[in-house]
Amino acid sequence: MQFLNHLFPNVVPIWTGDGGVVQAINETLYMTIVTTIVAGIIGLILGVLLVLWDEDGLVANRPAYFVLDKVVNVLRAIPFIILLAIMSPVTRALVGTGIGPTAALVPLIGGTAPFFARQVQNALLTVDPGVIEAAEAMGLSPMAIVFRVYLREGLGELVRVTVLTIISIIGLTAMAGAIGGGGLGNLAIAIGYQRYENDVIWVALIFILVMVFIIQFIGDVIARKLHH
Amino acid sequence: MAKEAVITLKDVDVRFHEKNRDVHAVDHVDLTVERGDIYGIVGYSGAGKSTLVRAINLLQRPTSGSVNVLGEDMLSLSAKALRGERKRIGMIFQHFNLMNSLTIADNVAFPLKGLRPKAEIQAKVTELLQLVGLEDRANAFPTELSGGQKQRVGIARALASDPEILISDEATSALDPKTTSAILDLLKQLNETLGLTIVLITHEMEAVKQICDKVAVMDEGAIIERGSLLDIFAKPQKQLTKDFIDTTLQLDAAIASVRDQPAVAHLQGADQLVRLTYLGASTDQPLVATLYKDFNVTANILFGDIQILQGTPFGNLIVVLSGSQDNIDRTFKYLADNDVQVQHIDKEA
Repeated sequence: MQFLNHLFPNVVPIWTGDGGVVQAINETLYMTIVTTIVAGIIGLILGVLLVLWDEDGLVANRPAYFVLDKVVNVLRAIPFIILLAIMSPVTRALVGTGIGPTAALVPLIGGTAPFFARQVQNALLTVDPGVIEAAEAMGLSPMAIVFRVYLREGLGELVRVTVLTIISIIGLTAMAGAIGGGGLGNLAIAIGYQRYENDVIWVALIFILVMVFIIQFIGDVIARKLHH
Repeated sequence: MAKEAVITLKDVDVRFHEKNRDVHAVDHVDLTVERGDIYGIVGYSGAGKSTLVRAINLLQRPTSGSVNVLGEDMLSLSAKALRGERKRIGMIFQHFNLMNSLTIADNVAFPLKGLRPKAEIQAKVTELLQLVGLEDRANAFPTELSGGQKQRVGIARALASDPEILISDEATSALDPKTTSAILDLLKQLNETLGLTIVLITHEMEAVKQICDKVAVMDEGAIIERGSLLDIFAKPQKQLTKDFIDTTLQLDAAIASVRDQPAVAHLQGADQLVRLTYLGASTDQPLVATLYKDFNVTANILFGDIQILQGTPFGNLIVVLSGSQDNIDRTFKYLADNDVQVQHIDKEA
């Protein structure tokens, strides 16, 4: 305790309680997990649609592909910090407030879903087209091919891009935190940076890095299990 | 036995647009395959073979023409009905196209999953793996298998839904000659035991020779020649067909080495260097003896190749015929009357 007090003099007093370190960790986990699930589902659906509507896809649809492709590109091109500002009216309409972790979810999902959609598209395009053709020749429906071939054969790549996306979400939560979203990013900036309490910044960083390493580790374990 | 047409393509034409150029992949092709046939379609890559066979199960929709398979007008079917029809047409591929994430048993079970009771699927998978000789590899993954074994899995998978037709798309092209031959034997065996109709596309005439009973030769999207295997080998009309047949003989190398022999270098008078090609019955005659006895023409055999096509001998000889001009002319007439093809070979390249 003595040692920690000495090393992180400003952290120990705010370890628990409102606006404390534990709360910040919980908020970051909350934003990361909810964003991963919601943006994951939206991105997966959009990514699959991009693959299916593609010129060489199972249900090629040129206009639909064109529109979705452009929307994904434009959304991905918007810097997250600007997206936060642009989406704030939407956030207020949906959540009732522009501040706090739940409010931060809206831009987080808005920024992550198109990113993940593109990642999913690229992951599924690594599936051997020959295998898709074989499934078609066996009389499988496009829906069955998505679930039984694309998502199955592309699983290893999907795990890889999911890990990549979750790590990127953790990074975005820190940014959202900086403008009032809460979490470790908020802790580092609002307390550590603005009050010149460098040890707080370091502690926030350490926890973020630990989260990233854990996600990476889990991803590697799953990837190894899937590899034949 | 009246044969039943199981595949009838009429005036099938396939065009598509590809990177700034229009491709006329299949050029107004008619094709009839009867039940129990092993129908070989041979041609160089880019000749349109793959596109043509994909018009059978509509993996490639023709631009125009009609496709009738097993009595169904394929082009008029709904998407759902088409999927049902596809289950009656198995397909195997050059690169096997197995699911790497599934075991061998699961790959074979793949087309049946959800359509039949589990126990029934398991019994079927065991039966199929026995049929292709892989029962001991059921729990292996495709990456642990050799090319030939992978193709056996591909065949077992294609047979899972008890198809009446099997389309083989260059299925042996990625395999070594010995494995190729074993896979072809397996296909022949399936044809005989299950009555499976097989459409086999390949660029290897050797494969066609081994198992097909009918052949079509494709070039630039069109079928330029077709017939029974024996007819095509006995009397090829088009140069491309002749070229394909010669690939089974290693004739080019033979002719080159024949030219180096003294008997050829010192051809005299009316001596002729010719290639004699004959099939079946004409082989029964003691050809060389007859030429000497009846026409006083000697035939010096420099190269000989006799293969058996569907139980019928198919012979190719390169000989120097020596005798008087008159006798040699009479010899040629005799050979023509007896269905022996004669082709003159220049003594220099």
